[in-house]
Amino acid sequence: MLRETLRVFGSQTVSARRPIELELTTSNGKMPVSPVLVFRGEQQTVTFDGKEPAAFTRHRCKEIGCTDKEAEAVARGEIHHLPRDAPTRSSFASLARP
Amino acid sequence: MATTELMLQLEVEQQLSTDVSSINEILAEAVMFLNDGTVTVTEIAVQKLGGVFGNNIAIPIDDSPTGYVTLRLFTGGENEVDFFAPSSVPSPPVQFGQAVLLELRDAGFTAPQNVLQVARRLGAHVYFQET
Repeated sequence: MLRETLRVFGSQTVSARRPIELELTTSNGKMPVSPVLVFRGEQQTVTFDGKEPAAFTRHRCKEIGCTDKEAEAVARGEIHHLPRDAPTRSSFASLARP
Repeated sequence: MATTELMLQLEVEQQLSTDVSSINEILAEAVMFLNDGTVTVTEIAVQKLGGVFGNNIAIPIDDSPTGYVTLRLFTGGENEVDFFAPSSVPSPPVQFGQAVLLELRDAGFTAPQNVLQVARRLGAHVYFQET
């Protein structure tokens, strides 16, 4: 599970873009993954490839083999592996939270 | 003519919960449209915390201590002027600023086995004026 946070500050019209890969490369080969929107600011608009995030996530999850139930849960942002404020595994390097 | 003080900040945080053999490059962009004025960049900076690590390797393997940031100022057509961090000295004024694009990058890595871990945060800011 890869967790990313993108923060942008500027005028009210500022926008940001973060290209991501839809695969993680391991020694076992490429593993397909799906982006999941866990949190966004109240006044922010977020899209995945121009689409509403839940719709993109639902489609991508089904594409990579998730069940309908799993896809619906993930599309609602219900992930259990890396919640927004959870620390990383203790054996991993971690970043101090501001 | 009035001078407008402007700011653009961008931060990316990346943490991985398992060991992998490939970590992709970080690329993030923030864009702001301007009013065809004269632009002076007064400060541009980048900072980084954490990095890429190897499993059971004591020394971080990350070879990019700061990341890399560029402010691209578009002035019409195919024309652009680029500014690189760090600088806290005002730039020469550039006319007909239409938009600025702050680009933040950090290196990607590949290993033959699943030994790479990542926990890194990169931040960049630019202060500039439009007259």
